[in-house]
Amino acid sequence: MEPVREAARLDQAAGLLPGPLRRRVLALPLESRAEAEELRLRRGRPLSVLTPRGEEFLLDTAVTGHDLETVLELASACSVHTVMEQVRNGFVSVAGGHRLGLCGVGVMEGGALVNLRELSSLSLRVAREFKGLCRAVLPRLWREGRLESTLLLSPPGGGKTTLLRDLIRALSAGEGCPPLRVGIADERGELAAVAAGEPTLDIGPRSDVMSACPKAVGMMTLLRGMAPQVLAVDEITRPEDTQAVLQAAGCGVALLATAHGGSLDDLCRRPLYRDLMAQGIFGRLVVIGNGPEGRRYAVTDGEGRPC
Amino acid sequence: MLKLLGAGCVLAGALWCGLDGAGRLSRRARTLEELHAALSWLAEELAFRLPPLPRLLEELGGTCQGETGRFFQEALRLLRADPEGGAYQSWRQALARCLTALRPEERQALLEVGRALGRFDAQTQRQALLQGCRRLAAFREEARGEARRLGRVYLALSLAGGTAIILMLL
Repeated sequence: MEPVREAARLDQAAGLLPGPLRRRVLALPLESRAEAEELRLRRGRPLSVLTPRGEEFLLDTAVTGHDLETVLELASACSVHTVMEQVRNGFVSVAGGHRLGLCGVGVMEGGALVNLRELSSLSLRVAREFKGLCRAVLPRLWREGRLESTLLLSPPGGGKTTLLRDLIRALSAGEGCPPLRVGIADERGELAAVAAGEPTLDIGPRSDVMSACPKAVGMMTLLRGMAPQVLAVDEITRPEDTQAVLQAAGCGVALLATAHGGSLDDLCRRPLYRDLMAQGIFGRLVVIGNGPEGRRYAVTDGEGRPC
Repeated sequence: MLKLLGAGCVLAGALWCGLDGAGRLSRRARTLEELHAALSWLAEELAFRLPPLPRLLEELGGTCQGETGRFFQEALRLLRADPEGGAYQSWRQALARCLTALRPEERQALLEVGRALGRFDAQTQRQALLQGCRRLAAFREEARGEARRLGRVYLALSLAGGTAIILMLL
């Protein structure tokens, strides 16, 4: 890990904070800035920084409601109307691949969340690139010379997206494997962080990105237009996502996907994933866990046997 | 001969004062007309295209004429210089610097529009814009009537005033 480069990622994300909070974050020591994973803003409470050791509060700060509104306004380039669809989903993707999680009073219409008012908390998740992270995993994802469809599992904030991005980069660059064309359905803009048509995060030279459209639409468009050998998608959370995965799996491409969960059992208990697992779509599961020495990766086949 | 020249100068000066007054009235009506058209366009864009606010301000700054165009350019410049201040602050500061022909109640109507811009969903912003349009349309009609009525009065008064001065001096 290069501390200066990693700290710069947090500094970029902190650019969304109002002046006093931003200056406080930028005044943190280089090491703290390099390892920070999230900034948490809760109305009436101090700003906190999430690191692998836990949540640390900056006690000399106090977050106001106006601060929260300013962050959302800055995240949307003073155009909240352009991110309303994301607001309804509870998060906003911002330049650089960072993600702003939102919490407040929900405005409901016909049983669906249509808006948030009186923001109460924000979570600014810093997009990190750890090149080479996938080395511990990638060789175990192949069977008889073919990449197996793989599902990465961890609880929220466990590092799924970071690992998926590095897998995409390595496969696309042919790093430790034959190079493959990777199609990325990047609905939230977190995998490639495309700006002006160009990815701002390293996703390798043979990757094509469909951003800012529903995963299911993105996957089908990539399949029709870009002939990918691997299809990557972050966070399968809706029934239409699983339908698209099932459709794509029948097209002969390997799938790389992520989902919330701590184990194969967790996954099989949830109706959304039960079909996917029952049909044997995923030949490999990577369960990401946290240990005292950092993240651990357990790779199994689709039935839970270690690989 | 000298008297005639002097009388001509007095009459021209008086006429200039009248024309300036009438011009100010018609400039106000024209500015309100342009602002009304600009806000209507913004409301339409927010209904269909949903572009980001800086792009909308840029397009308006490029297409609107004179003071109205300068107002949108200034709002964009201020927004880019200090995004943390938010759209409303840029709008308010630009209004304080430009659109000098407007009256306080007309500026207030524009300020209320600015309060919603960029901060809410498109529908709420459209409502504020359409409300602003309605108020500006009323001000515009009033300004047009005033320009028609008072413009003639200003001209007549300036000519009469100039003639009276000439007669007094002769």
